[in-house]
Amino acid sequence: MAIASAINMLRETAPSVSEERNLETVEMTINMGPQHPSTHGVFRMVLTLEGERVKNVQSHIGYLHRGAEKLGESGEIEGYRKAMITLDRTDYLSSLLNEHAYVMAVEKLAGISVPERAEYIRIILGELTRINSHCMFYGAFGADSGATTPYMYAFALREEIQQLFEAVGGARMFPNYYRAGGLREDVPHDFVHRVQAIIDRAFYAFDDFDNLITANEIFLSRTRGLGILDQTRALDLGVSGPLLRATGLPYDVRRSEPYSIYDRFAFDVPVGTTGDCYERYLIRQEEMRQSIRIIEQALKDLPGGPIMGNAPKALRPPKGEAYVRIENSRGDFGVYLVSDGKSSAPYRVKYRSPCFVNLQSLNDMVIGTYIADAVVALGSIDIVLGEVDR
Amino acid sequence: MSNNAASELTLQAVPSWMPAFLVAPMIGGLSLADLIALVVLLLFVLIFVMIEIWMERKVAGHIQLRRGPLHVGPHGSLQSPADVLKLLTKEDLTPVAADRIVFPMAPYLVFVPVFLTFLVIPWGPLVLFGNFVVRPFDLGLVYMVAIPAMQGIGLVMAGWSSGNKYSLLGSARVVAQLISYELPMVIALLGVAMMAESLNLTTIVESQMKQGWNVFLQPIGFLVFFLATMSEMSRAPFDIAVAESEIVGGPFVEYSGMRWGIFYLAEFAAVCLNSALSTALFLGGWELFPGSRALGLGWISDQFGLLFFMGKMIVLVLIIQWARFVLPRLRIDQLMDFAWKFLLPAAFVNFILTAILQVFGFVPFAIGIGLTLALAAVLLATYQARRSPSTVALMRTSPESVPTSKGVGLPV
Repeated sequence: MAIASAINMLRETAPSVSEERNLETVEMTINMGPQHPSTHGVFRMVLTLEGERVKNVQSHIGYLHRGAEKLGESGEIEGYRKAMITLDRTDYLSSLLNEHAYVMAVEKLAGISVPERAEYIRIILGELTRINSHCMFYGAFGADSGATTPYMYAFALREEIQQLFEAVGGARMFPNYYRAGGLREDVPHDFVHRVQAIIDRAFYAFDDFDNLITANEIFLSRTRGLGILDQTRALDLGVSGPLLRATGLPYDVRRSEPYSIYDRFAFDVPVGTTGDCYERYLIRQEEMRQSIRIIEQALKDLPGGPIMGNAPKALRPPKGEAYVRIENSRGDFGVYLVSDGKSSAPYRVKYRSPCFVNLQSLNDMVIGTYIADAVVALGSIDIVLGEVDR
Repeated sequence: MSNNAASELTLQAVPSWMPAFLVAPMIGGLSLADLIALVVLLLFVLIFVMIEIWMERKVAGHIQLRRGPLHVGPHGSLQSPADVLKLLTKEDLTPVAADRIVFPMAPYLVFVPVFLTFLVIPWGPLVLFGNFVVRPFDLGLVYMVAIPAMQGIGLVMAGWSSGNKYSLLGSARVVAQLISYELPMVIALLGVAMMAESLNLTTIVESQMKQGWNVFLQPIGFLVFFLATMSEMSRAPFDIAVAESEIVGGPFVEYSGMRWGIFYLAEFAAVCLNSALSTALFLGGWELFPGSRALGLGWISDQFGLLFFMGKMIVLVLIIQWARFVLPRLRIDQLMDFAWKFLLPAAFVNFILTAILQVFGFVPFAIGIGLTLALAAVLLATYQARRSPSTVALMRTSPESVPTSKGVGLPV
């Protein structure tokens, strides 16, 4: 009896299992950004945390809104060239690719043809821009997962590409080099040699990239199975680019709706199977190699001749609208132009930015993971805030 | 020294390299020789940390296709003193939300335990000076585990008192990390104590000269100890407590000026300390090469041992720095998994193998080591095989296989 009563007493005094489970965990709200080393600019995430786990994410954008579209509509004197200046500064990592989309839209609107040489040079510079941008991704993604060295290796290659851009267009990041109907000026006489030198250097650089982190056990454990986005969800969100290709859908505008002269080149579209952060990383690595393939083919066929077509100096396209989409380094980039037929500036400029759309998938990737994962998942989307906010 | 029982238990001798006339005068239990030894040690730590920071920046530079510091002094060697001067002149900010008492106290509580642990390190002999060791405690091994663990308290204080959520997260990580890694470390050290049959670090070094270096007799123990100490001092790839890309420096977010400098000093002093401990416990201390005594070359170690000790220590420091710049960071759950599921069992295996060596002799021990390595190889092979291939499937270029945007109904 005494033992039984003692046990009963213990039962009453000791906390029951259910009580222990109800131990209160205080949720913590933590503000990540706009000043934070790994929010890629001025993105702001408000994370609701339970310990180290992310319960909820609230994204805040707009810190870099500069009205790029509206500014492009107001150039009465600069005309259709003005929008390109602000466009360069939206996605500052794929400026020449975006310029390509814009001039194609103007050409479509005004019915201007482009000489062969200009098309080839656009392809070469565009693919170099893609490599440039993916290098930046590589460095930033490495830094997000805690490795500091990839940045330096990526920037060594970027430096050479940007020096080429400077030689060609006069600026490292914002060349403003394309014109409706062709190019602003011809490339320097040693262009082919310089591009060839970059190609030769790039293969070593890509091998270095791989040796540094691609097969690293820690890197694998940090990125595999993280931030999985399935194909249906990705399509629902309108995600494009490497994010969509990682889910297994080989959708690449260069291949699906070939623009410019992309139908003349042989290249592969890398696709993943699971759609996790690691596959996004691998796809970008492979795309850099495919870009080199395209550049090699374009260099071989690079014709001579004029670089400017039949475009008039003062452009006044007929009333109408044009939409052009390209595959920039982040996904499906579109330019929509409306001309009223009277003014020398576009009536409406609209950009469909892949960053903005891809960023919508953040919540799907981050909720339920750790803080460290949130940073890596955000890095795998590869956003440029200039383009998200415009 | 006084002859009471407590001092017999803990203190064996004053520094042997001190002249006798300095030993006699006593000030509150400390002789003049002790004070001088402390000052010399502090100076050594400060100067070595400066050299270490310069080394680290050079290592980082050369790994990262850069040159590192180059302009202040020859090859940038005076960069660290210049940085210290800069830190001293910087404003010492205390955030409004910070705790007024705990916040300024924390940096010292982080540095002092690290410094105190230097007391037991047997640095080795140098020609005329005898054996450099400030306090050859009989309980040296216990002391060197217990004292640095206090560092955690300082870090928690820093994180909590800053009044910043990033700091708080960082200090929570520190606690988790310290508790997890202390255990395998201590169990790995059991093997060392069993080999030397002593807890005195000097005796441990001397026993290694007779039996062979512990790194060969306890390879698993060395690995566990080295990794556990790397994690304990929060060095990459275990630097989750200060993870810059996530929690922006953890407990140190709000510190500026020399207070931050002291944290930095403590971090680098800890690297030096743990390399020195690994050298003493596993790499034969001040012996030139294993078995040198048997070849009649023992006198070299007896005369210039300090230099060899420093050399081995610097090699370990370089390894720690190398790891920092080539490896990504682990996540907190992976860090815990690594400690509890890998390091702890490995430490126990080492413990059992050492017991076998002591009781049954070398042959069963060698068989045990062989079996362990074979098991590790099998586990690694199965793990590699289970891992799915890490390549991306490449679509061929035929246009039919590629859907158009109309086909899949992609939104514009």
